[in-house]
Amino acid sequence: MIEVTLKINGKMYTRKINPMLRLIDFIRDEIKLKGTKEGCGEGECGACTVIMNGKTVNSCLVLAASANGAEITTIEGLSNGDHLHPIQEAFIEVGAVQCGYCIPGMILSTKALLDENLDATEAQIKEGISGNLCRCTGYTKIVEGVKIAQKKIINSQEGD
Amino acid sequence: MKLLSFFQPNNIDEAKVLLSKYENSKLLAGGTDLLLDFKKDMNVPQYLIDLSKILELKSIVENESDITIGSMVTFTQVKGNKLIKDNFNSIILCAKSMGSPQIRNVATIGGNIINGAVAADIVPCVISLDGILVFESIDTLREVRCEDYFRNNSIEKIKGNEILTKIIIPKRPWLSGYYKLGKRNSLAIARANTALSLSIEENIIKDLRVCLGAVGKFPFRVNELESRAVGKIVEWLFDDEALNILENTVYESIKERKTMPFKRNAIKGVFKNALLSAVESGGNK
Repeated sequence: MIEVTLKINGKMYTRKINPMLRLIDFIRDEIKLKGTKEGCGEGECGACTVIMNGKTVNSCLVLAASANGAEITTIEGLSNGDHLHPIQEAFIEVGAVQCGYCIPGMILSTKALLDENLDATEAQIKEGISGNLCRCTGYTKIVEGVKIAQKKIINSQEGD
Repeated sequence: MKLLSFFQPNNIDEAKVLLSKYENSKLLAGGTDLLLDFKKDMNVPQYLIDLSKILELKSIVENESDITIGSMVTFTQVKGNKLIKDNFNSIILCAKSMGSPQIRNVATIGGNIINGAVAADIVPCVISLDGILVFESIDTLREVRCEDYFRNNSIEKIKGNEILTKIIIPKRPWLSGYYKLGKRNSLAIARANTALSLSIEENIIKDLRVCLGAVGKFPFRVNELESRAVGKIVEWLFDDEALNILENTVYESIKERKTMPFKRNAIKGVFKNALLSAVESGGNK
């Protein structure tokens, strides 16, 4: 067993864990944040995407031990109390969510993309979410959702 | 086997000491391959040495005659790096087409070279750019041309006490290009890929390196095409005479495999796209 400390959604968590424990298991089973989903477990589908030190990773392909000291954002870290994040609002408004299983990962990929490039073009949006599979929506609504989110974020920045 | 200990050294020297101390140990780079093995209970070592906290292995440095890429540099880092952009177009194209954003954010150049073998994305690029791999252990330092590493793999293969620390790529005013044929656009491993670099003066080929990937046990250079091309105009490389050399090379390399009829034809298109990407990059080398 080894001791690790991770900052998840702004809060520090220290646990003694088996060094083989994956980051997704740490988040779901140790911290009990169930928003992060496991899909394929092989880094193909992106359902388990979280943001680690500003970059998206498949949490099924990272050991929690390797993430020791890292800052992690999961889907639970996006909303501010009762106020949803603009990306979440946009996805709901446009109907980008059907079964919803891929959405936490999809939204975190969108967040990482827009944090880096708020003016991303449609091609860049598609590239940005290319590691996240959705079997329901056909992606059109999701891409629309990202575009609406861009406008919402830009407007809120102008309003500041 | 059961994992007994996990180490996270802070520098290369610490990692070397750990490697020499613990015989049944394994190095963890980005983990995108190794964690899949662990999931199947394969390749689990007694001691795991995670290289992710070693900053020395994460830099891209320009020297007088080369650019040195640390083995723990990720594909995302490479993709956005100005030194690489200004010098090695093929590596940029390769990094862009490798995996998804999530994979590129953790997968490392060193891990791809050591683990990727047959279909490793970056290996044809490094070979076609005459890159050199640097291996270090507690008491040795070994430089091996990437081409020789794979051609003589049984001899040159990384030893149990060694770490691939960096990849040295000579700077030269050549053009370079890359193309990968994959099954599904973003995540596929290469079905066939080609990297090339060439020196042209007034449309005459002065020098050429062509490396094919995923059409043999390891990526390899097509020496016959390289030598025949010297002195010819660039357009010759698009002619049947040149393309037939590639077709025959692939046929000879994988004639026992079921994929041969497809790949020996596909390689011609893959090569042409790689060549176009080099020529179109113009001054971008």
